[in-house]
Amino acid sequence: MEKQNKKKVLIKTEKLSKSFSVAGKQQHIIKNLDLEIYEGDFTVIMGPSGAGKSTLLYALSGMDKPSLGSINYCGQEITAMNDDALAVFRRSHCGFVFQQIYLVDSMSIMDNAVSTGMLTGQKKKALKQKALTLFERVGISSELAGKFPAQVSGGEAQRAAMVRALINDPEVVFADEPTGALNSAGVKAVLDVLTDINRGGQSIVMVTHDIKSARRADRIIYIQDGGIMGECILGRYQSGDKKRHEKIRAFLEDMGW
Amino acid sequence: MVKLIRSNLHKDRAVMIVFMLIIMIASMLMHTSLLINTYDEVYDSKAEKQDIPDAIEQVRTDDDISGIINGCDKISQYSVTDMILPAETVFTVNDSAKEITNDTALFYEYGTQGIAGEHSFVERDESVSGRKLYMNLGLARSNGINIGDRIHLKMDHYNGLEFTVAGIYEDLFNGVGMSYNSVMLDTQGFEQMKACAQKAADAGNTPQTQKLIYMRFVDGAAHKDGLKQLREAISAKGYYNYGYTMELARKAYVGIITLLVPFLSTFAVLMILICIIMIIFAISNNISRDIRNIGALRAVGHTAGQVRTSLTLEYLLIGAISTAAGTALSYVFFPMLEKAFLRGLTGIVCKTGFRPAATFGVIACILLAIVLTAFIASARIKKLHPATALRFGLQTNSFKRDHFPLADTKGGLNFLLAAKSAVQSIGQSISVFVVIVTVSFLTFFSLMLYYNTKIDSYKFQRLLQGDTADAYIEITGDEARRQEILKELRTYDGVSEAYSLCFQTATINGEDVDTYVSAEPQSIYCGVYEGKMCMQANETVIGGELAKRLGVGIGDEIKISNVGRQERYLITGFQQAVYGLGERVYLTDEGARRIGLEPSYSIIRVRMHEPSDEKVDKLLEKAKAYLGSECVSTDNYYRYQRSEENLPVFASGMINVVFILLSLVIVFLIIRLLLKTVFIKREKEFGIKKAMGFTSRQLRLQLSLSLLLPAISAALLGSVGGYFLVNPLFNAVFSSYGIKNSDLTVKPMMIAITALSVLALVFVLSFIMSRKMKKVAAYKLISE
Ligand SMILES: Nc1ncnc2c1ncn2[C@@H]1O[C@H](COP(=O)(O)OP(=O)(O)O)[C@@H](O)[C@H]1O
Ligand SMILES: [Mg+2]
Repeated sequence: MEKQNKKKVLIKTEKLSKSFSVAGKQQHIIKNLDLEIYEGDFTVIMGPSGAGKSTLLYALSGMDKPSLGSINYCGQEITAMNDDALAVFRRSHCGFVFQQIYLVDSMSIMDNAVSTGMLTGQKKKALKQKALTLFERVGISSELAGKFPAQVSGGEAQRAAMVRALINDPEVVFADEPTGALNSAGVKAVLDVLTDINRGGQSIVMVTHDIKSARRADRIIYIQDGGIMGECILGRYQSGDKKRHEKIRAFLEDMGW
Repeated sequence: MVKLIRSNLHKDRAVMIVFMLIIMIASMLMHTSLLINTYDEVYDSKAEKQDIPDAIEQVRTDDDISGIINGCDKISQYSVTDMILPAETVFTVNDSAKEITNDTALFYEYGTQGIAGEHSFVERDESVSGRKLYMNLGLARSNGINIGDRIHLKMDHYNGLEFTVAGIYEDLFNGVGMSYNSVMLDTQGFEQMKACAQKAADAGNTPQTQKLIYMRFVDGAAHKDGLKQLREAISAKGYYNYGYTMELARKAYVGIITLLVPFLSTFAVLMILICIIMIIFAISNNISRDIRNIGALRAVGHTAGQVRTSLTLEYLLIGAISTAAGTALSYVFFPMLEKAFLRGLTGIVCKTGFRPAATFGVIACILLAIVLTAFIASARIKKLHPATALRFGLQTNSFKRDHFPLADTKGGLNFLLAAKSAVQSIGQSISVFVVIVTVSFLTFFSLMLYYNTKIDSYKFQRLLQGDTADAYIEITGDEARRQEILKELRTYDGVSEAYSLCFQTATINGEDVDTYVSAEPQSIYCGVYEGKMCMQANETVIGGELAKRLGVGIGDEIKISNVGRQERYLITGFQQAVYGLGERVYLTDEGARRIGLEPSYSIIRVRMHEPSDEKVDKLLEKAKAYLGSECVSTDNYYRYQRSEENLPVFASGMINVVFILLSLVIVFLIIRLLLKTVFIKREKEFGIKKAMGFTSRQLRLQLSLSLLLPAISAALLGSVGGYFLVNPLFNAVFSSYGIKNSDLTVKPMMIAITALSVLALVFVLSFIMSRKMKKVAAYKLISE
């Protein structure tokens, strides 16, 4: 715990609540949640299906507005922002990776990345160069980058989506079950990229169902019924760390996983 | 299959509503134009029912003329009525609440219509107090006069009496703006007015009392010939006279209104074309979106034909509902339009009962167009392999070419993304293109018409009337005096021309022709579109339509005669004008006298440099002061021509309003339709882009720009097309009205104004109407 306190807080929520009205009835998905996410951490959020993990993730990233409570991002109160200000906030601070990948079908893979990069006013030439570098880093050739999302495999598309997420050098990348739809080779490639960029100093907040993915975390937060059930601090990931796996399994068992 | 139809309808309800509106408006317009087109018939059936005479003749005399009429063997039956025909009547309504000046009103005693029988009353109230006056429908409606109104009559120089309107009736000869307008007075009132007119005539003014002859001709005699016989007999006695047959009268009643028909139906056809484009667009969207459903249907054994039929049936259903609604609406709106405008315009009441031929004709035509389009547009289903459809679904319309790669193309992000989607949504772009070409053309047309009727209407007026001037001054005195007056007027400030033009009748090949004579031919602008004005005594200018009929050209000689005297004249030019239908002849004063015509130039026309209402008023004041009692009357024709009283201006104003309104409605509906489809098709894409940090404003801008891009070339094409085509179009539409070489003003500036305003409309509307973008939430992605 001592060690944790030295880390800088990136996102801090206070009494965060989110409810949806479904068929006229209020459903409270997130309830009075207090949470801190630390800079440079690879934070993993786990929990049973329907617990509100995605809902939390999208509130933290300014994609959706909470019903009550506050979210503070590096001293900025993002709950006070209007939709367009939130959009500007997202483009300059956050990157996103989704289980469903969500590349824009009508644009080439390159343009998916470039269009996002142009949002922050980066110059085209430099942007293209940067995109090519990132594509190389995730293992996508420049030829592949010229294709459309429907013309590549799921794993390739997800890696391309990661380039899009990274193109604006976000401080934090939010990933909602990024490996959920991939085969094992695809899973490993995506996780490696995430670990790699985390090593480079960018923070990661990832929702996952999968212990193998959770192993990459510095810290696991377990969510149930809209609140934090518990957390598990793991420290830096090293491959082949058997104990780490056991620790996670024990933690999850504890949580009633 | 029924389920497939229903589910489609449900999903696209919003889109379908827009569709239905467009089809409804198109069918309403088309049906209304067909209803208007029945005015010819309506007039004829009224004429038959009221058994109206074959022709009518005004004779300026108080003498007994029955001897002359009896001498005409072609006339089988006639009656002579006394009437008062002032040069100008001022109607002061309800103690000067309204003042109407009219130069076509003629007055006779109620009950003296002779063989014309009783006019058919539209409204009547014999219980009104005071002297009774009955007015024809056209005059009453176009001036907003109602039963019970008190009207004070002032005719030329003398103050008349006050009457109360006791009835409004249809007069099928003297009852519309373009001809004369009858007003009937009760016996006592008429006698008193006649006494006043007599007194004025005794004091040396132009006599106003005239005879009105109604006549029928013996079987087999052409009306024209019968009338000609009478007019020759009357002219031979030296009486001034004017007459026309029922065929000509009918033209005056239904002429203007039937001019609306080609415009309205052209518009309706254009709307149906737009509809067809939109159906093709919507079906291709449907197929892309429902490709899995279609695949599934085909997989379980439905034939491609069955699936196509079901799609087609969907449109048939929509078409049937909307055309039925459109024609029904036309039955609702037409009577309103008829009461509010058309009665004033045509002078007759048109009660349309159910017209099955028109109604079912419109419905059948539009449905046929829709069904054919839907069936042909869905041909793609035939080529669709069920397995492919199921496997690839939407991806079959996968994007193959990378248009405008962002990093390698110049331009801003919003612009480039808009350009991408404009190129990729080719169906949408084509729809926008076709619609905007049409709308721009109509807008250009309206702008041109506005300019030519309201801002600079000389060319328009000349096309209609031939020579026109800004001020008319009626004078007394001989030719020498007239010359002096012309000289005087020409020295006035702002005057460019002062001249006279006299209307006479001469004969060519045994046919009467309207002949215009002037001693100042250099001042006449009578619409010579080929050759030049006649200047010498042996020269003439003739109407293009007449020349065509006679088979003569410029440089040929024609024989023009009058009461036995005949001369040859050299044709120096062709003339056009709607009034006179291109059948007029122009002669110089000397030329006219050679065949014994005796033109009288009691009216002086004055044309000004850069006239205005006030300048013309001032000129007329000055002229009156100079002329004193020599001035009989004056008319600020500049003002009249630009007023709604001038029926063609009124009618083009109506056309303008209809065109502009419908253009707006079309642009609105189409953008709505396209945006609905866009939001159905691309909602996910917008969600993703929002998640990436695009603002709603950026996305709306991209969307509006993607509609604007195809609209730019379309707006230019439409308005440039307008620039080059409006005059040829006018020639085509009005060819039978004598227009051969329309020269209405079109300016390059109008292209710019049209294109810019249409584009602004497209952009602003699509930006405003895409505000739904704000509701597209990035977080929707979670629930997927
Ligand atoms: N936009 C929404 N409207 C209504 N209910 C929602 C919405 N988004 C999520 N929910 C509900 O909130 C609960 C939590 O959803 P989610 O955060 O996606 O759970 P998970 O932990 O599986 O990611 C679910 O019951 C879901 O149905
Ligand atoms: Mg989830």
